Amino acid sequence: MTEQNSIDYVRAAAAALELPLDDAAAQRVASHLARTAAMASLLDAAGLAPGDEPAEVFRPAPFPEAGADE
Amino acid sequence: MTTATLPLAQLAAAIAAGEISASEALEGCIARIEATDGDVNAFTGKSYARARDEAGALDAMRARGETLPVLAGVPYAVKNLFDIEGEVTLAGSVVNRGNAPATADAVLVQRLKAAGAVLVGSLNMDEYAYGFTTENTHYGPTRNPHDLQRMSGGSSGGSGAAVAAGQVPLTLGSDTNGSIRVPSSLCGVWGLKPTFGRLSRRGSYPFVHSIDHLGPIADSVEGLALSYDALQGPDALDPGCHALRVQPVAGQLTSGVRGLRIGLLGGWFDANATPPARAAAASAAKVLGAAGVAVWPDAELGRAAAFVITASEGGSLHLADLRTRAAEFEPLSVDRFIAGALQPADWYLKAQRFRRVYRDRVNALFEQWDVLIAPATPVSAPMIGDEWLDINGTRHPSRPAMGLLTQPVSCAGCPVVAAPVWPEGTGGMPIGVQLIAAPWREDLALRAGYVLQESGIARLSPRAPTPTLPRRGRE
Repeated sequence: MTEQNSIDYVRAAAAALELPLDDAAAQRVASHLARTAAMASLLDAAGLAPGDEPAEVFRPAPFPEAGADE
Repeated sequence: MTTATLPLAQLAAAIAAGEISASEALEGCIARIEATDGDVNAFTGKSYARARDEAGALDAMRARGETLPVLAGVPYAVKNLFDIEGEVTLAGSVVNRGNAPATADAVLVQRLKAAGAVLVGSLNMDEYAYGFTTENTHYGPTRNPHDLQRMSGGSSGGSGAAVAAGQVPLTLGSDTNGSIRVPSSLCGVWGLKPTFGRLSRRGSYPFVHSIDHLGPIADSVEGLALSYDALQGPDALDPGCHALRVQPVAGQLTSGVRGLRIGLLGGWFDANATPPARAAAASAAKVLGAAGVAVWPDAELGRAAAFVITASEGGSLHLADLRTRAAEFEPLSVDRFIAGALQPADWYLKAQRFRRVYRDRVNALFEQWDVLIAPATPVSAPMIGDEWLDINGTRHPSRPAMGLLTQPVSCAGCPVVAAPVWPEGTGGMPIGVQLIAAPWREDLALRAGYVLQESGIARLSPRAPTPTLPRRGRE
């Protein structure tokens, strides 16, 4: 995304969410969004398969059965 | 040694033995807070009347010959996102000032009260927990007690600084991306970020529902373990609380690390650490007899997923206020909140899908290791107001970069003890070391922490028995 595209996106998305932004704020927000866009592009290369579902309520592992190694 | 400088376990033992009363311990604590907080600025609220009632009730129990609970008379304070009955939960903001007072204590505050701990107040933080520095514009920055010109870390900066300043031996904080571990690292205190889903979050102001953890910061490993045991318990009313029973750890602290497979994390955790941070982790690895270097899978992607999820959920949570009251938000984070609210759904969903894959890869790593070691922060405490960090020749924006080494771990939900180590090359400032275990194995991380504490390598800095802190040098 170019800088201008990013600012245009911020303005359009903010309008859709009824979130008022002046030009200076739109530029600042766009710079933050660009940083997050870089993070998101890393995830494009993660090789997710169609069956890889979101973690709906995240659990790092099942809670261990009573008496399991503790 | 005064009551204000007794470590938590010794203080609890002295009160249990009747050597000092809970009220005496409390007054020592209050005196320390009053003498130091003008400089440190850890507290945003003081509940001394409630504390005196609680301490008095404990002394009355003792006078009646009743057995005191395990933390009887231990003073503590909480990050100001925890509900305290009758008070407005600020979460570091001014926007929340208009909210109704809490009608009940947060679950974890209720549990500490049941264990006999005495609540003395609430603590400063980054607004809505979105930050690593506690440079709160509304309530002022919390200053690092070891050098008042430096950051305390965040977002639980008040929680770290209050323990480091000897104001209280125990605090509660929250950790979404490192907010217990970063201030623990910068302030040189012990922190525990439990497994995601271990402790109830009910009655705390949320930041990122998918990643929020709560946990203790303390002056010792024993303090962490005793408080953590008191905080445990299922909570069916918190959809993110997955623990089904208490798994006590305090009785296992002295079991040592013999037989444990301990490794030092390389890769991302080495590349994003400055030489003093590497030295801190290496010294811990040596004491613990680390068998080799391990590589955390996809650390950069794990951090990216946490970054994206945080921005999206945090922004969405505050969208209504951002529409109408953005000018009242913290200037250091309001634009990030807005940017998060505007993120495409694809970014968020991709991050959540990756997180599930990532969890499996991280859990597979722990089939080979029991405890993994890494620095908690890339650097020691920067100066308040510093905008940039130099990490091995690369310039990073200081505020997000403080989470480089913590975010990949919390995204996987693993429990972590942050141990305070004092490497050379930091001007006398601490850097924390993360002791990371598989989900639900807090016991192993705490055992490793105890070994580091006993070796003397991880410790609180000796603090002055009188309220003499380094003077503020600028600002």
